[in-house]
Amino acid sequence: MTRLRRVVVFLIVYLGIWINLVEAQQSDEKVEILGGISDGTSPPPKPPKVLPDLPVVREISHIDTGRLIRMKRVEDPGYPEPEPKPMAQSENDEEAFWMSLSDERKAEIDAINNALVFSLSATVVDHRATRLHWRHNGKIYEAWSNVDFNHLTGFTRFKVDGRYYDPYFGIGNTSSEMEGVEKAPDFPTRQPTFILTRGDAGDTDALEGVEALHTLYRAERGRLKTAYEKREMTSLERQRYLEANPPKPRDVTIQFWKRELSDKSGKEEAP
Amino acid sequence: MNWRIPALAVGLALAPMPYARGQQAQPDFTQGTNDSWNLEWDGVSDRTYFLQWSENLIDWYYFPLIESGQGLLIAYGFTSTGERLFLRLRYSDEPVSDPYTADFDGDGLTNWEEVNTYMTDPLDGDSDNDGASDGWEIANGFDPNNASDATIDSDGDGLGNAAEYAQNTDPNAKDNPLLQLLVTVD
Repeated sequence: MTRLRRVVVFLIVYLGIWINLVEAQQSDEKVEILGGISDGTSPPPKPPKVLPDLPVVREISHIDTGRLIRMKRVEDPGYPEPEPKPMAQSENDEEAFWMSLSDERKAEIDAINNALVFSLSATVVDHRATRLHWRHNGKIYEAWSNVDFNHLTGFTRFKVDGRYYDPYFGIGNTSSEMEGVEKAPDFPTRQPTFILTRGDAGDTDALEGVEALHTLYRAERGRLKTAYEKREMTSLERQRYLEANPPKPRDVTIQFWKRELSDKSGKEEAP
Repeated sequence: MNWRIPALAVGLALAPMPYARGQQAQPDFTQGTNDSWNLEWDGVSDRTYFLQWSENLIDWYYFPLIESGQGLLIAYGFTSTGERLFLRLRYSDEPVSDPYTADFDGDGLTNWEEVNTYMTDPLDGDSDNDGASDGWEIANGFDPNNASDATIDSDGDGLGNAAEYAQNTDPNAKDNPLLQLLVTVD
């Protein structure tokens, strides 16, 4: 009996070491969030647009829902037509085109060619676990994750070991106290992980996106959680501010002109 | 009335649709130079065009312009201080000699007055849908773009303004027939 207990304890300890080793190996993966994580801070307001000073033919203005709308008919400024974009004609042209690109643009194209775009739906239960649902090659996959997927929002692209990921997911929140809400299973570890409950566990392609999200979370949990909490706080503050200070619609000015076309323009009909 | 109101939302993927009198090809909305935008459309002969703009695809306003199709391309350029600019072309096939002085919706205001002076809809006789026509509202000092004045009893005769319109009575004079009858009985 004592020997059996020792074996069980040994197995549990061994399993714990093995899980930690796997997680340690995974945490060595090079992970990067591209474009930063939004913390909810609004970008600074854009400066008001200044329209070119064109000779006004006729102007009308009126107030609508508290804002001033000005319509200015102006003389045709005769702006040139936009230059048509050159198209690659041969392999040499393509090479020249590639060489002409900036490093940033090359990186963007590289990201597009080496990116996994995937989508899934996520239902977060009690901010403690998330029910995941996605499809791959027409098959349905479902899993439970011990990650609060609210934290995995606020960015658009990330990179794991040189591979780009563009996740798109619909996310909802619910409570286990609500009728019909599934209870999350017990997870074997407190480290970010998931348990597949439906679908082929051997299909690595189908699991790649979800695996990558967990790898990312293992590496960036602190930053992602802090940014989420900041977004929530900022959103609440913004909501309170807007309730107290309803925004005034911005005035708008539109200039328009009849363009004189060289060969087949319509006849001006203004009275 | 013979006008049709196909809504051609420029920049949105709407397929050309068959119309009663010839088709209207999708307008071209393209980026121009100097932070401008260009709109071009085929001006079908004998067709009268109005142009609308919006920033949110909900509130639409007319440009103070009217165009007559003559089988030629019609082109306009735009710049705006707004964050967004959506355009929509509307047209009527009602035959008219002068589209500016014509009154397509029969509300007593000319098309030009509607788009240039009162900011009302030249293809809808009751722009604010309050039950009274635009021309009647203007003639009686009401706002044709504000439905809230329909229920106001401006002359205190027991009839709201929209009801005065429906009964063809003066909204600024106590001429409620029922009120007069009561007065007579008393």
